[in-house]
Amino acid sequence: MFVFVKEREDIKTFIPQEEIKELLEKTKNPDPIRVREIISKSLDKQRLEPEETATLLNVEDKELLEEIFEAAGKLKEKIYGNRIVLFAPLYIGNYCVNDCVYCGFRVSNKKIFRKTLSMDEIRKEVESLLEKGHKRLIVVYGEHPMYSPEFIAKTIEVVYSTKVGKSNIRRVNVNAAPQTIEGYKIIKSVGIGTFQIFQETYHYETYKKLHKGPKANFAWRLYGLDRAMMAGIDDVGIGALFGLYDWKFEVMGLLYHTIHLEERFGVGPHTISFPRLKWAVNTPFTENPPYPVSDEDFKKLVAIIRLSVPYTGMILTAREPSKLRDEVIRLGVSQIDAGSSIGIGSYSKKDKKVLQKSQFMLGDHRPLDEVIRELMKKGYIPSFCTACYRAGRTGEHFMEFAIPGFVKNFCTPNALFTLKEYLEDFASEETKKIGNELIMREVEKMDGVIKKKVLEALERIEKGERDVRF
Amino acid sequence: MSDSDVKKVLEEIAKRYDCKIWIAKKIGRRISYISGLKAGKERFLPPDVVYEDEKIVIFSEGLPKEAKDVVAGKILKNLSWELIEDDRFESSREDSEKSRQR
Repeated sequence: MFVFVKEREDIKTFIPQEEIKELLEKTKNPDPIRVREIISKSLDKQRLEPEETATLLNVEDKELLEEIFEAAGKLKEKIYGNRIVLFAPLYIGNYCVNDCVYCGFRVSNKKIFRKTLSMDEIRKEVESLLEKGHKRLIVVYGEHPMYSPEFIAKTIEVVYSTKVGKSNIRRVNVNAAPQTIEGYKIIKSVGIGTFQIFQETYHYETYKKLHKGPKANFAWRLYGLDRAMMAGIDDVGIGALFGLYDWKFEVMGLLYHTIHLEERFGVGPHTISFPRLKWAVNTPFTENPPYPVSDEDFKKLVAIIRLSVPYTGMILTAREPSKLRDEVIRLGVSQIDAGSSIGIGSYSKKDKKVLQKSQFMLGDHRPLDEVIRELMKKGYIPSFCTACYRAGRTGEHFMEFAIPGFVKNFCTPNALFTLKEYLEDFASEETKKIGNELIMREVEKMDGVIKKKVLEALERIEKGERDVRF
Repeated sequence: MSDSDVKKVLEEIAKRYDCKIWIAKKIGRRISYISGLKAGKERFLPPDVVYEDEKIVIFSEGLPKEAKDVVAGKILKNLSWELIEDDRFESSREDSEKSRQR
């Protein structure tokens, strides 16, 4: 099996730069009949081929676009039901050796306040997150020799070992620099969830222009998740930073990356992220991005990613303002962060310099309780579920998620259990009332045997039992 | 023992007891499925733990309680620590390194 080594600067990768451009050109002004055929294939839960995604990306007709939005929502509902998984980012350190023009953490940014959390500070941050009700985190690190695989593993162990009452963090995902296979093995050994690497841009020329430092090696980063898979990490997350290059090209890049992982490892990415470039301290590039993505195009790209990869989780972050998040969630999003603070050390301490410790500026500042309440008012089930990952339903086994009935019988009950825990332990009175009503409505929809088991489990939670799951 | 031997044992168990059965290894808090080591159809039941030690967990859906010990014994007899450690992707990597050395 091919392993990309760091010493090799350039190779022909699985992102066919010219072919993508040709496909996007060839599929302009698509025939509505063809577009509807593609939508129908997607609703049949089949992953799309590049030509099909390119066709959807070229839809401009308003009526057809509405059909795409509607189909994306319908597909999400079919596969994931009405659950939305919640998590929080925890930035561990913002030292970085790279000099990426769009990033607040770049080495040449002298106005950023540099900090790496000590183990004690990590514990305090986690305690603060637990007190708010969080169960799932993504830990984030700059690219720096200080953040070795051993250091990353140690920090994750600290996160997992921190407790407040009966609460602890049940799943830690990781966003860090690409590692060697040996490095991934060290990180894997502490029991991580997903390892996430965003390619930033799949357009080779743009990538070379915007990155300086170790990150400038396009293929080392692109094959970063191959090495993770080779090290036995079977949950990986891909992403692109929208605003660096043509958004249509980036969507195609994400699709080719998905196909590559599926073909090589038999399992595609666990999640896809699609952050838009945001303002960062002393970072002029972010004030005038070369390829800004409008809100309308953003909605379009989210819906088309959903239709292109029906079974992949989609993460919408608090970079986006709350109003837009509400609109975009219905287009196929399965995970969001909530109550987020991305200044290093800013969960446990109020900090006036929080922006100077942040990689970029957040758009949604609502606390977790408010996000949960708002989601429930719109009919979603906020979920902190981590059951699959603790029942050996990971990697290719997780793909059984595709079996009709899985969501109804596992995911919905488990989501309700974690929501019930939240309502019992952390929710405001108003949220608790809305939440308990939602739970009862959902239970009423269930069939006999499952309904009985769910009611029993909910009762156990009310009596104080925690981490109840199917 | 190879993974195909263990797979065969799992298939036999799944068929005999009309259940689903799979093997996962403990990695910190994560209980991670060992690639290829499952048999039987999804029955949409909460997973039961057939066997658990500090390294692995054997899960089932629909396996009668009274058969747990026998089934666990049969699987453990065929399961080696090397097999638990060495998952499919790692094997592929070794193949690749061998071929590169050649």
